[in-house]
Amino acid sequence: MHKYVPQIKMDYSHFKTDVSKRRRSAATRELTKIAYAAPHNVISLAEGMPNEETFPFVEMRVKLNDGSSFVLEGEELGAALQYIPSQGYPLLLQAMREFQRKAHSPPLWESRDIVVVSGGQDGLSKALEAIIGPGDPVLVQDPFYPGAGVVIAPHLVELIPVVQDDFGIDPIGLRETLRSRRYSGKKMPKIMYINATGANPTGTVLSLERRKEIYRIACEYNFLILDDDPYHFMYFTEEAPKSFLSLDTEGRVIRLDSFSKVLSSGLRLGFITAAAPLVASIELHMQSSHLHAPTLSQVIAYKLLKIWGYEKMMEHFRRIRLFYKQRRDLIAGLAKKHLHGLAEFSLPSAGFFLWIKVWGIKDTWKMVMQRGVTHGVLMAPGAAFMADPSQPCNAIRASFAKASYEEMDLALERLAILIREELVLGDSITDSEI
Amino acid sequence: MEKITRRYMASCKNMDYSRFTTKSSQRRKPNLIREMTKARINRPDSVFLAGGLPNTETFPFANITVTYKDGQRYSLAGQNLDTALQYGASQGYPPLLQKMREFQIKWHNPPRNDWDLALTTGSQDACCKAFDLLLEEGDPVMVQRPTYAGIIGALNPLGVEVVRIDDDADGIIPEGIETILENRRRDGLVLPKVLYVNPTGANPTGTVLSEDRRKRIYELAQRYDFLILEDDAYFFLHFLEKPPTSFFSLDTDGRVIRFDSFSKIISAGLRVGVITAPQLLLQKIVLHIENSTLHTSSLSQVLLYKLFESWKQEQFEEHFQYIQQFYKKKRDIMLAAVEKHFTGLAEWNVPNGGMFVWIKILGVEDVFDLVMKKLIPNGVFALPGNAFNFDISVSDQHLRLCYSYATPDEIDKGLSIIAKLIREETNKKEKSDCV
Ligand SMILES: Cc1ncc(COP(=O)(O)O)c(C=O)c1O
Ligand SMILES: Cc1ncc(COP(=O)(O)O)c(C=O)c1O
Repeated sequence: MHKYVPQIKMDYSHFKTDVSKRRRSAATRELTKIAYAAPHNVISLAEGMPNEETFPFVEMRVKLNDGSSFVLEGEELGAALQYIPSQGYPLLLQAMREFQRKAHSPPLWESRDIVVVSGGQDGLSKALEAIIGPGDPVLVQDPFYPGAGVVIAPHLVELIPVVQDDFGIDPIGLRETLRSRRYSGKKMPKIMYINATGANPTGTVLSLERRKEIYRIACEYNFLILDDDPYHFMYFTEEAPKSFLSLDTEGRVIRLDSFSKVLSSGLRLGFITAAAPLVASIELHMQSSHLHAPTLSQVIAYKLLKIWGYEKMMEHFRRIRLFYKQRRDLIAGLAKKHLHGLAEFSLPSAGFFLWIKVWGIKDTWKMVMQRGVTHGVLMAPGAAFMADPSQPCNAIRASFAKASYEEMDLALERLAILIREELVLGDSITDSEI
Repeated sequence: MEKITRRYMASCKNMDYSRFTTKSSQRRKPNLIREMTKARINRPDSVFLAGGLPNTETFPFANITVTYKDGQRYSLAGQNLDTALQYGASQGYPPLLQKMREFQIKWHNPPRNDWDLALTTGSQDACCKAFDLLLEEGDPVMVQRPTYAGIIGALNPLGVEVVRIDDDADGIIPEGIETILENRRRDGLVLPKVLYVNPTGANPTGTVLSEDRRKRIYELAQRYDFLILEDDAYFFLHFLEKPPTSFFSLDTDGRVIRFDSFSKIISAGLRVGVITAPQLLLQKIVLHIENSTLHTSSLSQVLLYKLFESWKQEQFEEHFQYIQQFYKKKRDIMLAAVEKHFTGLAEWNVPNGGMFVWIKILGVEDVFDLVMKKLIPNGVFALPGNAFNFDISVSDQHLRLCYSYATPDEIDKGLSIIAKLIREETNKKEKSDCV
C-alpha cells in the first residue's frame, strides 16, 4: 500500500535572488554532515575539525530555576564545543521538529524543514536576503520592526506599507494596495514581512479571520509570508493565536521563531520553519557565513527541551505570559495615570511594548531623542518604526518587559513632563516660525 | 616613548577607504533601538524603556558552572549569568573586547593605533561580512589558490572575478601577484582592491608564508593599493621556532583586515572569532553584525572572558605550546604514514602549520571519482582537491588529509586503504593505456 503524502507544488526559484541561486554547498560542510551521520567505523581524514581534546573545558553543569540540572561532559561536552552541520545540532533539530509539529500541526509537514539560526534577526536577514533583490518591492506592516528595515536598506528595495489598526494588518487595505499595483502594472511583491502575534511595535495580535484572509490574498497574488513571530507564546488574549504556518496549505509561509524572549537572548538561537527548498537556501548561506549557530547554545537548549518535554515547556510559556501580562497591566495603569489628557494608547494584546500616541505633537523624534535623553527617559520614537521615517510620527514605543514598577512610574512621569514642555515649546516654535 | 612617537607618526598618514567599500554597504543603517542602548551607557540613571530586552527573571537558568582542565572552576550566577543570557553590544562583550585589544597589541605590536576589533560568530562570519563590505559584483579579488572551501562559498554568489594567486611550499608567490597586476595594468583591466590569504597553516595546503614574502607582499599592497584580508585561523597552530610576523604587525598604512578564530584553540562550538581592522572599516562591519546576528553569543563570550581571566600569563603560553605540540605530533604521525604508504604514489610538502597534509596523487588525473566512488564506499573519508577550486568540475590531483582527529591506527589503516585504491586505479589505467 502506498501512502499518499501531499507535496508542496510551488516553484521557489521564482522567489530567489540571483545571489541566492548562485550559492553552492561547501564541500567541507557537506562532509561535516556526512561525518555526523556516518557510523563510527569510518575513518575520517576529511573534515577539518579541531580535536576537542585540546579544548580547555572538562565539564559544564547547568542548574535550572526549577531545581533540575544537567551536566555536559565527555562526548557530549565535546560535541557542544565542536563544529556541527550548518542546519543545526541534529538532536535539537529533531526535538524542534517534534515541537513545531505539536505546536502548529502544519499542513504538508513532510515537505518542510527547520534550520537553527543565530537568533531571529539572523533568520530574518538570511530569509530576506534569499528573496529580495535590488528594486524588489516588499510588503511590510506599517509601523514595523526596524530590524527588518535595516536588512532591507542596503538593497534599494521598495517598501509597500500596509496599514494596521488595533487588530493588525487590515486585509481590505492590503487587497486594495495589491489590486491598484497590479492595475498600474507595477512590479508585484514576492514577500510580506509581518509579526502576527504581538506586532513590534504596536502589540497587536492578528485575528484568525484576518490571518485566513491575508493567507488567501497571498495565494491570490503569489507572495510568501515571512512571519517573524518571537512573541507567539506571549499573548495576553483568551485564546492562543493560530500561526500562519498552521494555515499554510501551499508552502508559502516562512516561520521565524526565537528563543530570545523565552529562554535567553544571549544564547542567540532562532529557528526557521519553511518549505525544504527555502530552508536549504538559508542553510547554504550559513555555510558561507557563520557556519552554524553556537553549538553550546544549541546543546543547552536541547538538554532543556529533553528534560522538560513539550508539556513543561508550555507551562513555562504560561508562566511567562502571566509575568508579562502583569507588567502590561502595570504600565497601562501608570500610563493612564500620568498621560491622562496627553496621549492615547490601546492595551497591547501580546509582546513587550506599549504604543503611545501623543496628542498635539506632530512628531516625537526630537522630543524623545534629544530632550528625552537629557531628561533621563529613554523610549523609542515612533518614526523609527515607520516605512517612511522621514514623515512625522506622534507615537512612542515603551517597553514594559524589564523596568521595575518604580522605574516605569518615574519614566511615565518624566514623559508627561516632557510632553507638557514640548507642547509649550512647540507653540513657541510655531509662533516664532510664523 | 619611541613607540608613542612611531605610532603618532604612522597615524598621520590616512587612507581613503571610500574607494574600497561597496555602494550597498554605504546604504547600511543602524538599528535605532540598538543605538539607544548606547545612549543609556552615557546616562546610567535614566530609565530605559527603549529597547526590547526581555526580563532575565523569566529565563529558566539558575547557574552555569564550568570546570576547566587545570581544575579551576567558575560559576556563572547573578549578574554575570544575566549578562551571559541577555542581549549585548553588537561589537562584543566589552570586557572581552578590552582583553582582545590588549592581546592584539601584545601579539602583534601593530604600528598604528587607529584600528579596533569586534567579536564575530566565528571568523568566517567576519570574512563574509568583509567581502560584503568591499566587493561589488564584477570586482576582481585576489585569492590564494587552492582556497578554503568556506571562502569559495562566500565569494561565488557575489559574482566577483576571482583572480587566483598560486602558492608553493612557502605560501603564495609575490612574483605571481606582481605579474598578474602588471599584466592587468598593461591590458587596461581594473586592479583588484583586495587580496585574501591564509598566511599561517593555509587551508588546505598547510603552508606558512615565509617572512620575506610577507614583507614583499605588503610592499606590493602599498604599490598597487590593495587591502590584505589576513584570515589567520591557524596563527597559533604553527610548528615553527617563533611565531610568524602577521600582516597586521607590518601594517603601517592601515590596509590589513585581520581575522582570528578561537575555533582551533579554545572551541569551535562557541562560535567566536575576532576581526581587527582600521576603525573606519570596522564600524561598517559592526553595523552589518547589528543587522544580522545582532551579536555573538553572550554565553560564549562571557565563558571565554572568564577563562582568560582565570589564566595567568604563563598559562596562555603553555596552552599555545601544548596545542602546537599536540598538532605537531599528529602531523609527524601523519607524515610518517604518508611516507610509508605513498612513497612513489604521491608528492607532498611538509606542512608547517594547521591541520592538513596536501598531497598530490601521481598517475590519477582527477581524484574526485576516486574519493566518491572508491574511498568513501571503503569507509575512508578524505577531501578531494576539487573542493578547493572555484570550479569544482576542474580536474584536481590533490587530496587533503586532516590529522587533527584520527588516531595513529586510523591514519595507518586509512592511508593503506587509500594507497591500495590508488594502485588499483593506476593499474587499471596502465592496462587500458596498454590496450
Ligand atoms: C519582531 C522581532 N523580530 C526579531 C527580533 C530579534 O530577536 P532575536 O534575534 O534575538 O531572536 C526581535 C527582537 O526584539 C523582534 O522584536
Ligand atoms: C582558513 C579558515 N578560515 C576560517 C575558518 C573558519 O573558522 P571559524 O570557526 O572561526 O569560523 C576556517 C575553519 O576551518 C579556516 O580553515
